Order: sequence, then structure tokens, then C-alpha cells
Amino acid sequence: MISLRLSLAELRQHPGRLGAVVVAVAISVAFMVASVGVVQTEFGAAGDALAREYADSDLVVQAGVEDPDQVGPALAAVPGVDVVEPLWSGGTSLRSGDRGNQASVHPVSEHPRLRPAELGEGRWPTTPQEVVLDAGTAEALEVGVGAQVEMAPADGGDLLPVQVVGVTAPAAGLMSTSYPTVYAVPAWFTAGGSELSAWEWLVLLDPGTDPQTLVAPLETALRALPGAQLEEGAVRTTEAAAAAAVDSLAGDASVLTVMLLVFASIAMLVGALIVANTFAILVVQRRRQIALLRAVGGSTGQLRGGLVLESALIGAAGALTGLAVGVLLTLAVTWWTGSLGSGLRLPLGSALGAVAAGVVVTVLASLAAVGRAASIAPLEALRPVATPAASRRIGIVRAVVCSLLLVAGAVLAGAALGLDPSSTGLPAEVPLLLAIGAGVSLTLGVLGGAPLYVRPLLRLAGQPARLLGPVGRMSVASLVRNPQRAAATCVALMLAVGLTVTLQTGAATTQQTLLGDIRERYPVDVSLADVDADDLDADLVGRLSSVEGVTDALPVAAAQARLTLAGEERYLFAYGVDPERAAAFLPEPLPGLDATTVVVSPGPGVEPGERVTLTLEEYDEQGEVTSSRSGTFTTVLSHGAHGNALISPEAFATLAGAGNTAGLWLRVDPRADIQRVSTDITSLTDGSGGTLVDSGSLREVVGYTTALDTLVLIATALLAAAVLISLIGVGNTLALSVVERTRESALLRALGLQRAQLRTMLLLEALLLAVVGAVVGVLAGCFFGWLGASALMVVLEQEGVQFAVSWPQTLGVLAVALVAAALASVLPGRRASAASPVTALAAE
Amino acid sequence: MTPSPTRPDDGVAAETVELTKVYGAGRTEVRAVDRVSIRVARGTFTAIMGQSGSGKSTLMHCMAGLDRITGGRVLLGGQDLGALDDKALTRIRRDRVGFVFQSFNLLPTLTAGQNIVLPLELAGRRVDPDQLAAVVGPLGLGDRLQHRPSELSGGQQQRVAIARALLTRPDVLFADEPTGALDSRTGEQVLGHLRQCVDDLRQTVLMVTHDAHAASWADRVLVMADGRVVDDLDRPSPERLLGALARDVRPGARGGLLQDAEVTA
Ligand SMILES: Nc1ncnc2c1ncn2[C@@H]1O[C@H](COP(=O)(O)OP(=O)(O)O)[C@@H](O)[C@H]1O
Ligand SMILES: [Mg+2]
Repeated sequence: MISLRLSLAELRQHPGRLGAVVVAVAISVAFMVASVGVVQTEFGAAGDALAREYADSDLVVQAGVEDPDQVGPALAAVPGVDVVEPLWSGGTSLRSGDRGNQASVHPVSEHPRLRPAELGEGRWPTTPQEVVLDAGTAEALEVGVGAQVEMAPADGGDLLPVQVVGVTAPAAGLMSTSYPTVYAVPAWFTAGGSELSAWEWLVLLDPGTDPQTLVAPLETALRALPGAQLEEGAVRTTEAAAAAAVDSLAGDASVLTVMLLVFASIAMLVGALIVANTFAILVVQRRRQIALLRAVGGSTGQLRGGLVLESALIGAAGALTGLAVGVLLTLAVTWWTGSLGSGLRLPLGSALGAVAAGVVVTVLASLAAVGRAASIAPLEALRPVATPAASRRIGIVRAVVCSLLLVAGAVLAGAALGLDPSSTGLPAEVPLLLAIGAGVSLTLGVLGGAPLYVRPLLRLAGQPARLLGPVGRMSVASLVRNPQRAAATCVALMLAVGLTVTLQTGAATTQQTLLGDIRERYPVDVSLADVDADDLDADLVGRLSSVEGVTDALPVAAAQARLTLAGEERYLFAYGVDPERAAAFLPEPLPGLDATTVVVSPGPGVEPGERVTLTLEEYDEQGEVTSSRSGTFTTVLSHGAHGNALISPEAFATLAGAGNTAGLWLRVDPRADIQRVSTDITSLTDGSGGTLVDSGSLREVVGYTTALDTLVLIATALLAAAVLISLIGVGNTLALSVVERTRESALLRALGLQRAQLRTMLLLEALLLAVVGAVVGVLAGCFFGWLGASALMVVLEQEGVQFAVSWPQTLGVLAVALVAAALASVLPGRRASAASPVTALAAE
Repeated sequence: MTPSPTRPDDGVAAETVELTKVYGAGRTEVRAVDRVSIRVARGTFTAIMGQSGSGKSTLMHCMAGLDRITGGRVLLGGQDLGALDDKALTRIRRDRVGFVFQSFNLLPTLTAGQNIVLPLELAGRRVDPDQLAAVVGPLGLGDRLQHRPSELSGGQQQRVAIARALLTRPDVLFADEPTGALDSRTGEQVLGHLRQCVDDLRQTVLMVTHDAHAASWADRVLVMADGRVVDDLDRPSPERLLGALARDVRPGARGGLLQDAEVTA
């Protein structure tokens, strides 16, 4: 193992040269470990939270019987059973001032061992007029202990005042269900004419009784009840029930774990590129030593073995560091979310798997360089530079292969966008699969072809740098001197930036296309109508109109209606609107709206100028029609109808017998924080008794926007690891080239180059690499994002794809790449400029 | 050549006063240059000769502002280098000093022509094509300016380095073993070019060499041993120089120091 000893000596002498490999491997392994650890711990905590409702009970019983009231006494009669408590579940609505909320209701047993949650402050309720709220709901309603709120009783009647006597401790963990919950005494569930019935019971046993021994007797007792339907595990020990609750989340957990591992693998792939590049550079730098080793009789096998072992050692160092960092990250994240309290869950197998993956990827990534090292001829120790002929031949092969990949990708992309699944009878997913194939093929072509085009791109990007004089010119020159190396560095950056921008652009394009469509078809932002056609409360209208971000409000007449269009019966709202006043809320005026016409939304089979019958109907509680008035109108088509029917106020008054103000249109400033505007409006309308329906677009727009924004934010954060690793690659390439260029730097310093100029040179090199890598990544990412979104739109049968780039995010990625690359040049720059010209000139 | 009016022209291009340079400290201390006081007259060709390890290069590095001195003074064109910070020293090297090293004189990424004009460009000065032609022509490099260093022979590379050193019209052109990596015939040519610079352009040249034959091209030869100047010869013949060197290698004269240096290294 002479070559290993040489490698180790090399490592000891220049420990920094492989630092980047260790860091790159460590980051990706840490990512993997933390992904598994955080997800498992969070879901474990969520499972524990689910099981929390079983409190400190001994057994959990689930059963369907004819009369649930018989279950309690039947179970209590079994010897050894101490207490049996039904685990009621019910729903209610809450109101405090203008704020309203739907909530589930949970029973609070008198028995201290059966408390369903941790109290944060206050006490547990003792009468049906007292409740405890969960922390989130208390905050949403802006109430605390001692406050009065209104709450619907169990039988669903009018809201009644109740006293908040306690608030639970805030739920811990990312996955903790934040569904609003009210805790009430069992008597609340049975009060009045409530038809609630329990289907789950908690059982406490006499002290010293083993719960397991009572499973069978309790099942027997249940079977004796009329209409008993017992499923497998109807009676379980609380331990088993809690474990099942945790298990019920395992599926979700594994989906999430796989998703995170995909991102971790991307980080590792980028890391592998950095590793491969580093080893390639090292082999070039050690060329003479390797040739000398061969000259004095070292076999290629010995050489290979030594280098592979060296890469395995480096990989192991990185992977173990990554394991430690990953565990620390898991601890930090789960401590922060609060889930750590229920225990760290990190399967040993996954942790070891991540470490093994780190080592294997490092070794695989180093193999190309090892092969090149083994092919170094002994004579090369004496030759000054590598022969360029071979690389030329490889260049031609590369050009041909990459061109084929690009052509294939273009054909696939064309097919993906040109196909119409509905007319060809192919499965709807085909365009998406084709687009993915096109993406893979084009990506391989672009990344694989990098050595062919990175050099001219660097020259091009270097044009402005040349204006800085010899410093700029020299930085471009030293970059293009090693096109393979520059290309490999850029490829890592392209991949990481490209993936990030693909997601961002794909989401932005999807969002723009879908939202554009929604906005076109539903131009009214908020369109409220009371289902009972009762006039809206003037106070409510005032408050809605003055929500920040609402720029205009139009009270309209509204009633539920039935309309037959294109042979299809539709239930919608009929609005009586003045076309002139409505114009301010719509992109186009309502043409031809008069006493004889009805404006409806365009759609398949809907014709203008049709004679249609519009029927205003009123319904009772059971949904039976109590009154019905019809009128005949001529259709006018406009998206201004936003899925409803618009008639003139006069026609409405004639039809309904009288006008009303049961409807309200709101216009929202598109530049406002629409998420907040929507929440404000919803909290006002939800608190008003629940008879208001909104058929405007704001809510849907906010839903899409929030969902996609969150998705992109998470994906960007997860891809940040890959971007980080690729930037370490930039620093590493510079650092290694600084080592190679020690004498050059010294000569430059001797000839009068200032320290700062030397640092500027490296800064420019870093920026040029980053600009080329990031710009190609951004352009490719924009294209792939558009391609993916377009294919998705073909699948969704959505026409008119509107290309959109998420500028703040994409420019953010670009800025991060440039700033981080500049930072990556700091250390190599200091190193290069710190050396005195004399000692550096003496260096071999 | 023509001294700038702000500098008093006392005919001295470079001067050292009790110059001392010590490497390391304590047991590993090496006194590479020991209280050396010399004056180099403007427009002359001076050689510093001595055995390997006698301190020639160190003395030259100190005089050229490449290295910090431990004691004494160094003046270049009347400017005391000891008082300058790194920035100012770098500027001195760029504007008032020319270098020719034994090897690795040129930046591999730049063409010969770019290498030659590099110091001027670093200074942000315009390159006068006539001046460039005047420098490059006599060195026989006119048709080699577009070539990269890897496409030039060793002698051509040294001539490119000389051209670069001459173009800024430095106070002193320092050459450290400029023929050390060349065969004797090519070496002769390079020495001839240096001689020409002095004779035709009145360029001050200070050359370090261990080769008595090379030193015999100089007007004046300073012989160094153990960090001291032990001999100062005017236009010596090669034979006299060999004698001076031989005197210097008597057992005991430097052997002790050499052994010390080797033991402590
Ligand atoms: N950077 C250094 N660190 C320590 N000792 C040095 C250094 N440079 C030179 N020396 C020592 O100084 C002495 C003179 O070296 P040098 O000037 O290079 O000699 P020459 O050029 O005459 O061969 C030698 O003993 C050498 O070992
Ligand atoms: Mg020397």
C-alpha cells in the first residue's frame, strides 16, 4: 500500500485540498440524516399528540351498538373495570365580536387521569356553560381566560354565551393538527335534544389490573349488547391504540421522507460533481508524483487501490461529519418545533445508509480521476504539459452525443406540447411524461456539452472584465486555460441553480396561467350573497368596505335562482345590478343589460340571444322550495357574470316582488396583501351567521397563490443545499488553482501586482464562473419550468399558457450565487496574496 | 536612464548600508546577508558572484524590494526602501525595477508580447509602439510576440524577460542566474544582450551568478561568501575570477558555515 502511504502523506501535507470534498459530502449526508430524523421525530410527536386524547387510560374501546348509552354500564359491570368514559366528539361554531370559527368539541372527564390535553392557563370546565379553548383558537378569537364567547350548543341551535375558563398549552411540533378545538364537560354533549352519540370509550381499571387480561372479557361484554358490531381490535390497550395512532401517520411520513430524500439526492449529485472535479484536479497536480511512482516500479493496480482507498477515507470523513451534523440539525429543528419533547426518532439503519451513500458516492465520483491517474505513463514525469490530442477526440465524441441528446430532447418537447390527449385517445399523463423525458434528455445534453461551450461563454462574460485591464484579462485567461475544470465547476452550479429556477418558473407559469384564467372567468374579487336573500347588515357592509385593501364596494340585489342553459339546469345567484355602477368592478362593461336581458358566463353550448327562464326560489330548512317566481330573459354573454346571472335592478324588483340588498361586490387592490385581505373578509363573513356565500375569485386566487408560494419556498429552501455545495465547488476550484499558480502569483507580485489586484483577479474568476453557471442555469431553468408547466396545462386541458418568471425569487438565486461566489474567492485570494514573492518563487 | 529631475543624480543607482538579512530565529537562525555595504553606479554592469548559498540571491532580493531587510538600509535611486509599506514597495518593483529570473519568468497564459507590456499595463501606462519596437528589435523577438511561452525556447523566454525588464526603463535591472537554465551558447547570447543594454542604453544591470565565466561579462564583480562581500574586482578576467572563487573555497573558509546550515536546516 505504498501509494496509500503517499496519498496519506499528501493529505497530511495539504489537508485543505480535499476539504471541499469533505464539506460537500458532509452537507449531503447531513441533509439525508436530518430529513429522516426530523420527519420521523415530527411524525412521532404528531402520533403521540393523536394518542393524547386517550390520556392516561388503560383501555380504549371502539364499538357500534344499537344504543350507545348501554355500553358504559355494560363495560363497568365487568370485574376489574373502575371507570368508563364515553369519548364524545362533536362540532360547534364559536363567535367573539366579529370573529368567528368552526371548532370540534372534545369531552373533559372529571377523572384527573382522563384529561385530554395539557392546560396552559386557567382550569378545566365544570359546567356546560364553561369551556377550555386550544391555544390557537383562543388567539384567533382574541380571547383569554375569563372571556365570554358565543358557542353553538350540541343540538345545533342558536349561539349561547359560554365562559372561557382555561386555555390549553400551545401544541408542539410541525405536524400538530391545528384544528380548532373546544373542551367541554360531558354534560355539554348530552344537553338539550342533542342526537350526538359516542362510539369510543376510555376505560380505567382497578389498581394493579393488567389491561391485557381484560381485552377478551370486555369484548364479550360488548358482543352481548343488541346490534353489536365489533371490528378487529375493538378493545385495545391504550398502549396498542397509541401505537396504532403513530402508525396511521407512517404512510404520510414515508411520502415526505422520500420527497426530502429526492432533494438530498440532488444535493449529493451536485456534491458528486464537485468530488469528481476535485479528484480530477488533484490527479493533474500530482501527475509528476504519480508518474515517478510508476517509473520506480509501482503497478497501476497499486496506484488505483491507493487512490480508491484515499477517496473512501475522504468520503468516510465527510459522511461521518455529515452524520454528526445531521443529528445535531435534527435535534435543533425538533427542539425548535417542540417535537423533541416526545423523543428523538432516528432509525439506525437510515443513518448508516446515509453514511454508506456518502462513502459510495465519493468513491464512484473519484473513479474517473483514478482511471486517468492509472493511465499516466511513467515518462510523463518528465513531460511538461498533458497532450491535447486525446482531449480533442473526446471533444468530438462529446459534441456528437450531446447534439443527439439535444435533438432528442427537442423532439420530445415538441411532442409533449403538440399532443392533444383528448383527440388522440392517449392517457392524459403522456404529455407530462414526454416533457419529463425531454427535460432529462436536454439537461444531459446541456450539462454534458458544457466543456464545449463554457470556454466561449467565459470569454464572452469576461469582455467587461477585460476593461479592467491586465487583471481582468489574466483572470479570463486562467479560467479558459482549464476548460474541463471550469466546465465541471459551472455544471455543478448550472444543475443546482437550474433545478431551483425550474421549480420557480414552473410554479410562476402555472400560477399565472391558472390565475389569469380564474380572473378572466371570475372578474369580481369578492361577490357575496345571502342565501336567504335577507338584506345585509349595514354595519357588516360598512366593516367589509373598510377592510384595508378593499378599494370599492357595491351593494347589489341578490337571490338564489335556477336557470336552464345549454340544456342543463343550473343553481346560481341572480344579481340585480346597475350596469353603469358594475362597470367599475369588471374588465369590460356589461353590454346590453336591460330589463329584458340576463348576462351569463360564456361556456360550452351557451349561446347569446337565447330565450331562457330564470326562476327565483326560496327554500326551507329541509331544502324544499317554498316560493318560486319565474321570468323570461334573452341571454347576453360576458365573463362579468362570474358564473352567476346578472339582471337589471328593475327586472330583479319585478321578478322578486321587491328589490333587496342581499348581495355585495367588493373590489380589491391587486397590489394589496391579498392573503390578509381575504382572511379579514372571511373572518367578517364567517362571524355573521354563516348564510353568506362568496362566488368571487379572491379566495381561490389566494388559495392557489399561497399553496404554490409555499411549495416553491420549501423547494427553494431544500435546493439551497445543492446551491451551497455547488458554490463550495467554485471556491474549491479557485483554491486548487491558486495552489497550482503559486509561482505565477509570485512572479506577478514581483512584477508589481498589488495584493489587492491579485485578490481582485480571483474575485473576477469566481464571479465569471458563477455568472456563466448561474446564467445558463437560470435560462435553462426558465425553459424547463415553462416546458413542465405547459405540459401540465396540456394535461389539465388549460389553454393559453402564460409564461411567467418569479423575478424576486429567480433574481434572488442569481444574487446568492454571485455573492456566495465572491465570498468563496476570499480565502483563496488571501492565501494567494499573503505569500511573499520570494518564498513563493522558490516554491516547487 | 535619464534620471528623473526630482531625484538627485549622484550617479548611484542602488546602494546598501550595513545591510543584514536574517532568516529564522534562535537555533535555526541563518544570517544570509551580513552587514553588506555596496554602491552600484548608474549605467554599469555589476555581477555578484559566489558559491551556492553564499547569499547572492538574498542580497539581490533585498535590493530589489522583493524581501524585507533585517538591518541596515537599502536605497534604490535615492529612495530608502526600508521605510516603505508593501503597497509602495510593489509600486517600486513595478515602475523602477526590472527582473530576469533563472526560470519561470513568464506567465504561461499571456503571449510574449503581453508578458512584455504587463508591467506598463499594471501601471496603467500607455505602451508606446516605437519604444516597444526599439526594445524588442535588438533582442530579435519581433516575430515572436504572438507566441505563448510554451512555444518559445529557453533563450527566447529569457530574451522576452529582458525585453519586459527594459521596457519600463528601470533604475536597475536585476538578473538572478539568468543563464542558469540555458546551454552555454544560448547563455552567451543572453549575456551579450545584457551587455548591450548597458553599453547602448546606459541601463544599470545587477546580475547574480555562480559562474565565473558569466561574471566576466560585467564591469565589476563583487564576490560573496558567508553573506559577506569578500572581494570587489574591476573588469576581471575569467581566470582571475576563478582564482577569487578558489580562494573562497579553501577548507574552513565556508565549509563550517555550510555544515552548520545543513545541520540546522
Ligand atoms: N526563505 C529562507 N528561509 C531560510 N533560509 C533561507 C531562505 N532563503 C535563503 N535562505 C538561506 O540563506 C542563505 C543564502 O541563500 P541564497 O541567498 O539563496 O544563496 P545563493 O543565492 O547565493 O545561492 C542560504 O544558507 C539559504 O539556506
Ligand atoms: Mg541563488
